[in-house]
Amino acid sequence: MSLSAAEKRLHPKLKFSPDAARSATLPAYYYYDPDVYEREKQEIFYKTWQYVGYLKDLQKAGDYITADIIDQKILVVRGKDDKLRAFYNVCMHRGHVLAEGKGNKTIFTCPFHAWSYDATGELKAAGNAENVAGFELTDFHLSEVLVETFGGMVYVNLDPSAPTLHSMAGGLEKEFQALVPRFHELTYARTDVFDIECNWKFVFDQMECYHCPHIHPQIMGRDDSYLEPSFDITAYDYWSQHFVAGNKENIDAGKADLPYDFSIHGDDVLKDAYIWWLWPNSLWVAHHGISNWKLMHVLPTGLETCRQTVDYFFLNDPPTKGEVELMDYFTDVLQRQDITSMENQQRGVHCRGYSQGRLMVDDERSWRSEHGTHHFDKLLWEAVNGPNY
Amino acid sequence: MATESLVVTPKSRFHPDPELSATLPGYYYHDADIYEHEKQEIWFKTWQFAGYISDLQDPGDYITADLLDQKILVSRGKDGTLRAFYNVCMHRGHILAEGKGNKSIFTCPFHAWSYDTTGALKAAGNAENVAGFRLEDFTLSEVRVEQLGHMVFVNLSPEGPALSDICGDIVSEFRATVPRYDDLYNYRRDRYDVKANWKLAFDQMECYHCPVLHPQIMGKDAYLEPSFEITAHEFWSTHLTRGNKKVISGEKGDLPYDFGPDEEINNSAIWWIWPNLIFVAHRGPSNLKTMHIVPDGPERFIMHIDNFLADDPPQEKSLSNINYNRDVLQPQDLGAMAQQQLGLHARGYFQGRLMVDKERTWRSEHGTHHFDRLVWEAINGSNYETA
Repeated sequence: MSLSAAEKRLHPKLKFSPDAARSATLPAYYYYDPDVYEREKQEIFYKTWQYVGYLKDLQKAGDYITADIIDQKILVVRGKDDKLRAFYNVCMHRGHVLAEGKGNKTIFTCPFHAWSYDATGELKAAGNAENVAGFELTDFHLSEVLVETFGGMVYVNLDPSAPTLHSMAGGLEKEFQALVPRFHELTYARTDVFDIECNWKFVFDQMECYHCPHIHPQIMGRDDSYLEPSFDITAYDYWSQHFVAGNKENIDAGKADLPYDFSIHGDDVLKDAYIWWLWPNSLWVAHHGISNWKLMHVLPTGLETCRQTVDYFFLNDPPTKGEVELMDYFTDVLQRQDITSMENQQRGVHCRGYSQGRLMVDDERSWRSEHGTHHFDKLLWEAVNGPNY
Repeated sequence: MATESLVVTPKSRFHPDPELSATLPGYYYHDADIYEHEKQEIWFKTWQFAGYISDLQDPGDYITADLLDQKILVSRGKDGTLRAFYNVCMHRGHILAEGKGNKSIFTCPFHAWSYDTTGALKAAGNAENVAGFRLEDFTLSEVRVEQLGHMVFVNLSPEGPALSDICGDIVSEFRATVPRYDDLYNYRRDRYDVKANWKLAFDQMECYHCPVLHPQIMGKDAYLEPSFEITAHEFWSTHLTRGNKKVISGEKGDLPYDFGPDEEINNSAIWWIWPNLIFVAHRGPSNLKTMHIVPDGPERFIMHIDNFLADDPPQEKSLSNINYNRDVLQPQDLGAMAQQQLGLHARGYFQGRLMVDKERTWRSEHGTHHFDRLVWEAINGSNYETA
């Protein structure tokens, strides 16, 4: 059911603008309107590069992974020819899901009527096909989608005409690999999953540090903070880097109140934190401390709910005590703080007394300025409305 | 919505005359469109109970309340004035205040925008560097608020009559019935989550069901006379049931809970305020129950019963009264509603007949019709031709 016109409140004076310094927030109803959600599915999730898994699971011929992009089922498989291919993970006979989980297979056999496909997506056998008039195996090839590897990850795109991920965000991959020490040696440690009661966009609206001293008072703004009040954004069309400077004076003097126990000396230590955002829905984060990174990946699970998946990677396998403390700290403390505020926004934006607010963007683009939020919101707006403001 | 759920029985339909009227159509109790209409036309346009004035005595005292998906903040200002607002920061829509307490400044937990008790935005970090930013453009959005007796009500619609014009007299009735009305305090809150549409709770404003569902209170040798005298006003009504003197004096029968032959309250009274609030004063020492019902989706509602008593600590017989209500009477009523909710989906049921008699006897269902008619008109206006 569509929202009534009365529910689509707009501010009498403010409006969303392509100019960050004058822009309102997105209208509140964007966070609970089924029509906006449908547009997002069609124009964002089915047209952008979507993370589906890691290259580590796709090393050998026959290795495969499966993934969901909202209601779309995806299968990625490495062929005998060593080529990576991605398909809709669905049998072309009756639409049954073809493969589950991950593993290694040379033939993908549908559990329903045993139609069998090889790793190139070709239908090799279908029972009783010889007795079905005019049946050609070649008419039932798995439906292929674009796939690309990127920084050790695998991304797919359901839009056959999409530009390559490297052409859109190649700089991100280079920067990421250059700035995270010994990137290629980092190994997977753990996945934490958060089911959040808010629209998925609130996660990315949080790409500002105006909220940091209030929501995360322990990390910024105190005499013994290990982070400087900082949030320097370098923005490109479809990605950005957010730099949070460590308080070197506090760290080097041993005065910093570190939220997790980490060595602060050596070549492999990050003394600043980096967040990279790739439009629309993944964040790559390298935290302060011994080399590490994590992927934060968000998908809607409905109009007013989303799931955030966080995968941690470290130098040590199994992770050291300090590395476990880092994961626990971000999962149990920092992430909870952010989730609480996102869920309280979701509960608030329904209020008929609120239509949209002001994005607090300043001329200097200071650490408190909300231009990172605007970057995300602007791409969102244009995906939903085109360049019509 | 499937068209078949729109089918209305050809011979019987909802009618403004209670003596000729069917019940509301079955689908009114589970249809998503009806629920949305009710939200817009009932919940967001009527006076809604928000809390008690005892929590709003001093400047800075505040309470918060939910009205379906709407968040409300009621605050007493330094100037002594009671004001109500949408409880949401005008920056990014984050919830502003939680629970209740006393504050002179409401600071949003997200980016620390700070509002005073009049709703004025007093400070927003970095505002001096944001082009054209003016604090006065972000005053909290205000809603109407009114005190009625010991309670506070809000109305999200700026239009419509004042609450005191609708049912101002109800407070003098409370006082006339409950001798120690001014001593009452909220002894206990009972909560019920019920798998039924909220309207079924108010459709029970009749005593046709009493001897059947509650044989212990009305029937042979029961403590209440068969009685249910309704005095109806436009948007509220009083329902009186009289005690059976022989049972009360101990001559015969059993008492359902503990009370004596001559109490402060001798005849049980029920008051209803449109749409969703009921008060009950049961036989016994001064007492008053608030029964507040809000939907939680088309097929669920939440009921809070606040048990107000005058004695602190309460008398044993007052506890026996409120425990009997919680443990026996309410489960009987709520059980019937849940069974009705299951039944109303049946494709062989469309709508029934409201059993209203000319005399408006104790068994007559005109109280149900009063409520249903206001629901009908909120959804359809004065059009009685189509469902």
